[in-house]
Order: sequence, then structure tokens, then C-alpha cells
Amino acid sequence: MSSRGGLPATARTLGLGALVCALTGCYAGVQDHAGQDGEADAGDAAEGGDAGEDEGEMNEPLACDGQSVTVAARPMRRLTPVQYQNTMRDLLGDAGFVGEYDSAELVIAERGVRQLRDGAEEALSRRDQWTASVFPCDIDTDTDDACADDFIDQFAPRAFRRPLRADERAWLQGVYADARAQVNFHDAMEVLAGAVLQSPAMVYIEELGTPVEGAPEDIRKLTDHELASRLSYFLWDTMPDDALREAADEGSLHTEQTLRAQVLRMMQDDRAQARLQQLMWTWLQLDGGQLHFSLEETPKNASFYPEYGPALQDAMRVELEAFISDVLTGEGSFEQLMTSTRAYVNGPMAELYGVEAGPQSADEWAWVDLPADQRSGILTRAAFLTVFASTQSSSPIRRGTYTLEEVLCYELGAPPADVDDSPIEGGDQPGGDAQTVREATEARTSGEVCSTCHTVINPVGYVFEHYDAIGRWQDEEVVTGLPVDSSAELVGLDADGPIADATELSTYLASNERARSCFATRWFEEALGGGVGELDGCAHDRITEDFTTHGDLRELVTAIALSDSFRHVNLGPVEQGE
Amino acid sequence: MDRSFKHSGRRAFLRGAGGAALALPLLEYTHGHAWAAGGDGPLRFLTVFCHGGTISNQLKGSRSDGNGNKHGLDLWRPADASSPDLVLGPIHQPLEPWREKLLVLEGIDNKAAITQDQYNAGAHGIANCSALTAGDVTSGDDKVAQSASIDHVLAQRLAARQPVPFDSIHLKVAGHQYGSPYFSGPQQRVGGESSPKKAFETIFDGVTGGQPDPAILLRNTKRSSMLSGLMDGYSDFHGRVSTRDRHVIEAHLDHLDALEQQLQDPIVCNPPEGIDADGGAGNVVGPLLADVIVAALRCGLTNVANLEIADIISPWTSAGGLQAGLDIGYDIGHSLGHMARDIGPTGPQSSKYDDWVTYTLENRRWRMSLIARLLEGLDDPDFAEGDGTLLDNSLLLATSEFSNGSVHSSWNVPVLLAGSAGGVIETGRFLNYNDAAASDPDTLEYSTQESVHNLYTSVLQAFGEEDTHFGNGDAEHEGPLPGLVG
Repeated sequence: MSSRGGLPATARTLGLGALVCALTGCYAGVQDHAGQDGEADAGDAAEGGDAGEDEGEMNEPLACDGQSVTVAARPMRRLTPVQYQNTMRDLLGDAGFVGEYDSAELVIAERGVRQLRDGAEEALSRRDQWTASVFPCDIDTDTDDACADDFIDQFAPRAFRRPLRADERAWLQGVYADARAQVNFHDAMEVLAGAVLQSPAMVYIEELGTPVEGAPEDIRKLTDHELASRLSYFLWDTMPDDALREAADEGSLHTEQTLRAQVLRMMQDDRAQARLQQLMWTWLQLDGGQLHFSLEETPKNASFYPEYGPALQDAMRVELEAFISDVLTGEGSFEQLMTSTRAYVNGPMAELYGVEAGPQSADEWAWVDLPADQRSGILTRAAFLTVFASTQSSSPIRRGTYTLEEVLCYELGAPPADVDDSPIEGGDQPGGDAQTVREATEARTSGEVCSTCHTVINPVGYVFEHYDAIGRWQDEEVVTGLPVDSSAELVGLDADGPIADATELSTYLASNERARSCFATRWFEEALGGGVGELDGCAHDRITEDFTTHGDLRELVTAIALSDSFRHVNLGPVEQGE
Repeated sequence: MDRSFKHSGRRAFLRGAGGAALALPLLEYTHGHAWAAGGDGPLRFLTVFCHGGTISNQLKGSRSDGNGNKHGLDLWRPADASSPDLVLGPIHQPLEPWREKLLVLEGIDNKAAITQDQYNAGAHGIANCSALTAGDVTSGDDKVAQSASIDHVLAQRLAARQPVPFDSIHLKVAGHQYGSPYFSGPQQRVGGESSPKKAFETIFDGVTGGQPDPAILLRNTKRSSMLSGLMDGYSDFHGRVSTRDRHVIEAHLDHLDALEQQLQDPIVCNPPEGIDADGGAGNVVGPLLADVIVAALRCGLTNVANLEIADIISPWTSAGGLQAGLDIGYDIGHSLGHMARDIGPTGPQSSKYDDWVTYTLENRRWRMSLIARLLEGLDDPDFAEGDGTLLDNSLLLATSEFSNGSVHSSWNVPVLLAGSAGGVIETGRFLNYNDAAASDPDTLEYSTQESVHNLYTSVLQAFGEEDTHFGNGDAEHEGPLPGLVG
């Protein structure tokens, strides 16, 4: 039900190649970061009202000269629901804690603040489940006020993810004292702990940094503790662990050597696997969006797809998660992600993929190689193909739109308000011959207003035509019995000749500069917690260029963590007009 | 930012002689305020927001006659548009018992959506953000409104003179929709509570018909202490963060203040029973949410209640069995509303026409049944307020972001009003602002000068507020709707 992803649209283009000319309504505000679209840049800078010395820099192409630190401004973040729950679990050593906090909106609503209060109370009610050291005394039997001071000194810095300031210490002592004047010791300690668990330094990701010599006042270098938080929330979706915390305490985290070592250590941890898996899953939009269901809720026509149901949907999820995990723990390359034919399947999945010598029953799982003439990497797997299809047929428009927007970072505008967006099933047409889904799609989208976008969208979608609505290979369409034609000439993308099918598309995308750059940008945005901006140009260029060359996911993460944009914060106004 | 204390007046209001909380007669439910004293009752405002539009023939600035594609039915409008009395249309049949206390309005556009939509229709996102705010919407993928919605604005005004624990409550029947239309401030979208049980536990927390539970009192003392400490901490944080982020912490502080407001003297009122469901289908959840709203208003727990209903399909209605034959899946193109574009009395899908009309009508009537449940509770004479009922002291507004959802039209949005806001609105009327209807009430021509900006200005004025305009500058004219508020 919620909008997809939660991340804003990529603010910068990838500045690559010729883009299809923007006619009415198709492309929304594409900007060339190399500054060719000078008018738009000037206009945006004026609207944004950015004050300060960097205004001139915003209008210029950004040189990556290694001399001046620049980083774009992004709004302050608070913990996401997943991060909140993980943080509470880690802070208290209570793996069973479930937070009802579900606030993901830009500005916290009253409901979210109430949920934080309820979460603190819930946590306190589970005191006997805590395995971490929280209260330095037994609050049921002790009564010494000194316990409150010890709690403040020992627990609050862990919760705030940094050492306390003197005024904060005084503040918390005041919270305890005020409570103690009204209630007994035990209850006063609970009030103190509850306040810590709802404090701004706990709930928000505080990034104030320290001044940078020679840079504008708003550009600040993150403290080691702030850097530790950013790293752990990016890679693990939780608070820093002891080892990361110690590196920050020692003041060595910002050094290249320590930072690299920590990133490597964290990438090998299960928490990184889980987090990056989730990142991929969100990228694929398989948990649903405004225009499509999640994998679990996607319905299919039972007469065409009798084998489809919760068990198969679940198996699709398992298969894709295993595939992603295999990439992340193995070679860890973009190439592998897009083109590997390895698959973890059970009986029904093996059958779906046409693998004969594999598991037979639903309980038996094994790694197999999928037929290379039919399958490739992530875009040819059942979960993806199922979600981006209708109840009966393939959907070239959905698959094409997804691939353009999320794999190639094209910005497509909205279709006209009264467009017919009912699923295109193909089949018998009134007063005419039967049409394939492809032919029917062509017919519906060939009008003047439609063709501006659809000459680009449709070919990318047609290459997927050999997969039916649940991702099975079809030489003839399941719905019409007509032969499938998946060969298509891509428009506005720089391919050598027509693409025969999705395996060829996958190969093309695997080494495609734009696709690699798009992917790297997406991970960069996740790490930064917001859209990439003009002032991230230096870091962005380096990261995308490197990833385009090596395509290595671990290297990508390391490059991101070492970048100026990741290690600094811009406290100035956020750029407008994206 | 002025953060004046909202609750000091209320302590005085709720305390009787000697500082004790007022003891009130214990009926099945009872009012949280003393009514016996007479005088004007407090005023309440309710919104019922039905996502996805209704059965309407509005296609942007024109109306369809239903030949072939794009059927021409408008089942929202009165069955007899010429009659001086309100004659309810097909969708509003469940509301017939309260006909004399209703108004149906026609010819109100959402000009904010129409102006900001590149296709001049309304559009998802933009329409949702502007339906109740009549205001600017951000650009980009994740659209939000740049101003507060009418319910929030009015809630704050009413809370200033009728202090209550909750400025407003917001419940929703969850399902597919394009974003909550409710905003508590610029870019501050508010989501509703979809669990009746959680809604009940939050709103009726600490409310009993007798002596307050000592455990609750202790818990509230601790909460109050925690909140007080947190407000200090967040105020300090406010001074440290970047200027551009301060509004975020200001909002957080406002909410901490609201939580504190809810800790003031417990309301003495018997809470409703049987609100146990945590979730479930719309026909389970919807009525319970309506009951929570009625009870909350009766007990004086809030002045403003919002019931949001997602664009759900209703297989439990009498026509629900037609769903399979119409092949209604979740697929956007196949959802109920979008079929209006393709299914007409003639044309390739005409064989489905009767079934589609039947099912859609039942679906829309089911939404009205929730309004009926609200009206039944609010208009119950057992809970009289002076000479009238709670409904007479209320104004209920039912609307949607679209008229014809299948073409995303924010022209001629559906508007239903109930209650007279304390006698200032003459009810039992059909008000048609379509300029072309003066000569022919059933004309297919359409033009209007009125927008939701004017509707919400009227709403504010109905509650005695002096605003001359609500919303941005996209309306044709400022000021209220002509002839609505007496």
C-alpha cells in the first residue's frame, strides 16, 4: 500500500548518451549533471534559495579535484521501523522485542511518537528478557540514587551512540530527580530509562559533524561516532556493535585503513547479508507498490496457472533470496547478479524452470543450473516475472517500465490521466484477428501521445515475452496459443542490433555502463539516506566509474564508505526542484 | 514558534467544586462534559474520506451520456435534481432515515489538483494531497501536501475553545489507496489507525465509568514525568540541529505536547464494549471503527473524527458474488472503478454492464452504511444535547479525491454533508453549483466557479471561524460557497 522504496527519485542523470527528447509528459525533469541544461540549473538554484558560497558551484560541472570537499544537503533522518526494532533488540539484548513503531513518513506523526513511547514501555516490561547490561543495580531491591548516575554514564552513551555531553548528563540527572520526587526508586529508574529510549540522539540519526578547514561553514566532517552510526545503519540496519564503537572511541575510524577494515569485517557478517538482501528485494519492488501487488499477494488466473498458489509463491521467494544470497556471499559481482544461471530450486520450481534432472518434490531443495538458452540472472527469475505481469499474461509494459526506471535509471513521466491501463491480454479482437500480447500492446500504445514513451518502453518489455505470467518459458502464448516473438530493437539505448530475448538483454545490461552506474547510484543513495545531489558529483563520479569498470559489490560498498559524501554532511538547505 | 500550553483551561473546565473530577450520571455511554447545565453544546466535525471516487459521469470538465464506452451514470447525485427537497440518489439510499439532516452538493471542483496536474484532470498523488488541503503539492515521486488539511486546522481551532484529550482522531479501513489525504502541517502526512482494538485502547486509555485505576494513575504520572523530560531534551536538540531540520523537531515537540494533553484528568465515561478485532475484512473492521468514533465523540474525548476508507472491493455485499464474473482482481486496470471507462450500455463490454452497475452500487452503498452507522449513533435521542442530538451539533463531510476515478477526475468531486453544525446550516437540500444546471438540472453541460477551497472556507465559517479563504490560490474565487452557511 505504501509508495515504493521510500527513496526519492534520483536527482542526477547519469549524463550518458542521447536521451529520447522530452515531449509532453514523458520525461519528468531530466537534468544533465554536466551542465548542458544550464537554464534549468540556474532556475533550480534560484528556487532552492541556497545561501552561501557553494551556490556558484552548484551551477558548474563538478570537478573531482581531490582538493575541496563537497557533499549535497539531505534532510536529517530518524531510525526506520526496521532500524528501530533492531536497535532496541541490540541495546537491550532482547532478540524477541517487537516494536510496533511503523513510522516511515518524512516528518514523524503523533502516532509515531506514541509508538515510541509504547515501545519504551514495552521494552521495560520485558526486563527479564534482557541479556545486555542495562541497569547497573537491581532496581527492584536497591534504592541508591548513585545507580541512576551509573546508568547515565554506562547506558546512555550506548543508546545515543556517542559519549554524553556534560549538559546532557545534567539533563538526564534532572529527569531522574524530577521522577524520584514523585515516585519510588524503581519507577524513577524506569522513567529515566524510558526517556533515554525515546531521546532524540537515539531516535534520530544525529549528524552535526565538525568544521572542515577551507570548506563552507555548512560542510562538516562526521565525527567518528557519527560515521560509525552511518556505517552500521547502512550495512546492518542497526546500531554499531562493540568493535565498531571501539574504533570510534579510539578516534581511528575515519582513517582509510580502519574504515576499509571495518567495512570488510561488516560485509562478512550475517547482518550485512540480511540488509543487502533487503536492499535488492526493495530494488526489485517485490514487496509491492502502488501499481502492483507484493509477490505474496499477486493473484493469477487459476485455469491458466493451476500450479500457482501460496506454496509456489513462497518457493519463488526462497529461490530468489537464495540467488541473491549466493551472489552476495560468492563472487559478488554485477555480472553474476545479471547473468548467473545458478538456481536453488525445489520440485515445483525445477518444473517451472524446465529443469528435468533436479529435485522432484516440494520439500527437496538443491542447486541446479538453469537452461542457458532460456534463463539468465535476476531479471529472468520467477518472482520478478510474476510480480510484473497481469493475472493472465505477460506484461511488456510493466516489465519494460521497471527495467528502464530501476535498472537503467530512466525517468519516465506519468501517462495521461484517462489512459486505458487495463491489462492487455491479447487474444480475439472485436471484428479482427487474434493478436498476441505484443501485437495488442503495440496497437494500444501506437497513438501519437503514447508513442513518445512507448517506442522506448515497449521493446525493453518485448524481450521478456517468452515468460508467461508466472515466469514459465513459453514458445507459444499460454493465453492465445500464438507464437511468441521476443526480438526487439532497443530505442535510445546503445545496443548493437536487436536483442533476441531476456537472456541477451541480461548480458547486455550486465556490462552496460548506464545499468552499472544506475545500480551503483542506488546503493549510494541507500548509504546516504537520500537522493544524490549536485554537490555529491565528485564522489558519485568516482563510485560509478569504478563500479562500471569492476562491477564488484564489495568494492562498491567500500568505495561508498570511503567517499567524501559518506564521511561528511552538509547542514545547508536541501536542493529543490528534483 | 509559539508553543502555548493548550491544557490549562481544560483543567478548570473539567474540575468541579473542590478540585475533584466531575462525577457524571453513568449511562451506557455518557458525555464527558456536563450537559445538564444547558447552553450551547460543543461543536464537532467529522470527515469520511472514500478513496477512489464514486459512480460519476464526470470526465474532467464534461459529462458523459453513457453511450458505449465511459458510461454516463451518476449514481451519487440526487434521484430528482429538480425537486426543492433533497431526494437521495441510489448510492445514498442507506442514509434515507436521516435525509432531512443531509445535504448533497454538486459542482465543486478540486481546483488545486486540476491546476497542478499536467493533464488538467486530478491525478493520483496530487489529488490525494490536495483533496482536503486545497493546497500546493510537492513535485517529484513521493508527493505530499505543503499545508494542513481542513480537519486538522479545525481541530486546532476547536481544541482552543473546547479542550479535549485528543484534538482529533483518525481511523481507517485499510486497503489500496494512493496516500492519506490528511496532513497535520506542511509535508506532515498523517496515517490513520486501522486496528479497532488499538484505536480503542489508545483513545479510551484510562477512561472508566468509575474511579480511576490506581495503576493507570501511576503509569500516567511516570508518563508525564518522562514526557516532561523529553520535551526538555527535544527542545535542546531543536537548538542544535541545522535550521532546515528544525521543523521536524518542532513537529516532534508538538506531538509530545499532545501526548501530555492526553494525560490530563481522566475522562469519566463508560467505554464501549466489544471492540476486540485487531484487523480483518472491511465489513468486520468498518463498523467497529464507526462505533469507536461515536463513543469517542459522546465521551468528549475529541472534537474531530476522521474515518478513511480505502478503495476496497466488497465481496461480502449482496452483489459480491458478481465479482468473479466481472473478473475483478487487484490488477489496477481491472479494479472496480476503472471498469467505468470500458463498460457502458453499448459497446464491446455491454454484456457486463448490468452486473458492473449492481456490484459497484453495492460497493459504494457499503461505504454509505458506515456513514449510516455514524449517523445512527450521533443522532441517537438517548444522548440529547439540549434540544437536539449530537448530530445537530456536528458537521459531517463525506468526499473523495475523485468523482470518476477511472479517469482520475477531480472535477465535480462528490460532497455529502450531514448535520447542521449547531443550527447554522439548513439541511435537507441539494445545492447544485453547476452554472449550466440553472436552466436544466439534468444537463450534461458543466461549468462552475466553486472549488473545495470554498467548501472548506464554508466549513470554517460554519464553526464560527472568521477565515475568508482556505487553501492556495487555485480557486476561481475566495470566500465560502454561496448559500451553504446561513
